Amino acid sequence: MRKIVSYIIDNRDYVTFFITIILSLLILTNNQSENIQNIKSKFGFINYYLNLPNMIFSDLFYLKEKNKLLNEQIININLENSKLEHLIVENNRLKSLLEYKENSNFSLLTSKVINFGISPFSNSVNIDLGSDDNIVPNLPVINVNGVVGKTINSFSKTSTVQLMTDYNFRLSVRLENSGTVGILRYKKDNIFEIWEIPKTTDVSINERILTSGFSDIFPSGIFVGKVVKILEETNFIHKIILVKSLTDFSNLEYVFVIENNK
Amino acid sequence: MYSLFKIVFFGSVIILFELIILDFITINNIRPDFLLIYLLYISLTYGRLKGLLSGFLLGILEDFISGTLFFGLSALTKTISGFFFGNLSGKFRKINPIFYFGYVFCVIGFNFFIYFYVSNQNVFTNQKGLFFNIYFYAFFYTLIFFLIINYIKPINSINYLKDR
Repeated sequence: MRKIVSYIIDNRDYVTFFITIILSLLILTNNQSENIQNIKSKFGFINYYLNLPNMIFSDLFYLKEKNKLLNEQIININLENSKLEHLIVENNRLKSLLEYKENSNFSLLTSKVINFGISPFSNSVNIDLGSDDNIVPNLPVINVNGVVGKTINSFSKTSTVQLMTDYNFRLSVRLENSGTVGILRYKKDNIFEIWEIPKTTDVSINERILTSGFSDIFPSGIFVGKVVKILEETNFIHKIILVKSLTDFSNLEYVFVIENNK
Repeated sequence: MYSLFKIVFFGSVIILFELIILDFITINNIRPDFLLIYLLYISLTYGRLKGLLSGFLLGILEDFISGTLFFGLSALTKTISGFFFGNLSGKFRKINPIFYFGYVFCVIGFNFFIYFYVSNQNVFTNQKGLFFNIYFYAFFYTLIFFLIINYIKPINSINYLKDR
């Protein structure tokens, strides 16, 4: 026994290395387990308090600039809104004629992006809403320009949103005109690609891409982006459609979490 | 124990600095890993054991802040890096400087490779060109900052002062 103890003490560097590696691997492979989630939510305040100075800093230095931008956005949205109000009235009238049953009811929670994380590759953002605000993983996140991503972690006061620009992000989408469904994934420089579009499908440049609704997370009809290029290789059985999102993912400020997706 | 607390405290200060500054120096979603550079200096100063323990603790802290899908990945990569960086502690005068710096570059490269391989496995499988593009981009971007910091505070001076 003494020999074992002295061996461990003599080789404490290697023993500690081995233990910490095993511990890291255990945490990594049990990411979704209840225990790890509990630990994460219990220590979620670390995330919030470390972000606090950054939030104050950003509020102080960018308030004027943000205000100006928001005012511009409000004017644009008001213009759009006046058009939409007319369409809603018309739409409601037509729905009542068809006895259409209303089944979509979004509840939006406004949230501020507090940082883009510190990992070497930016593919997620932290927002200032957490489990205290009923945020849970796998809620859709949008902004005025369409889909932004989905929540992947929720701490007590903050949450993490996986952006569409993450290479692991997949989104079921449909072409607005033809209704053809495909899977959207990130390519580069704010360009996304959809591979599974049959060659017979008519696609036009600037055609709108919307969420298909074939997902447990995203409801149908949310704007995703516009078609910018159509690639038709002879050796491919499908068309490849390149889509540009209107969202500037490097400059996100406010996003909306769809809380009640029913 | 006290020095480990001090290391994590200054690591938190670096994380705060990163949270404020990183958005300004992000290029194509790639940012330098200042925490890794800090870990290099810590491991060279305090040796292998504290290097790997600091790597683990700072990695966990980074995972919390990043809220990554791969919770524990930074802890894993930084533990490995801390251990290997620590091997160089007090050896600057004993080994060839080219080998010494080559070893540091290799450990930084290895750190990024594990990180990107685990977090972007589908890219590695389907688009190897893109994978290595991102990988080398992130690796060299951090290397540039390491060389700048090394110019200000050379790592050989740390070894000389805190030789074990």
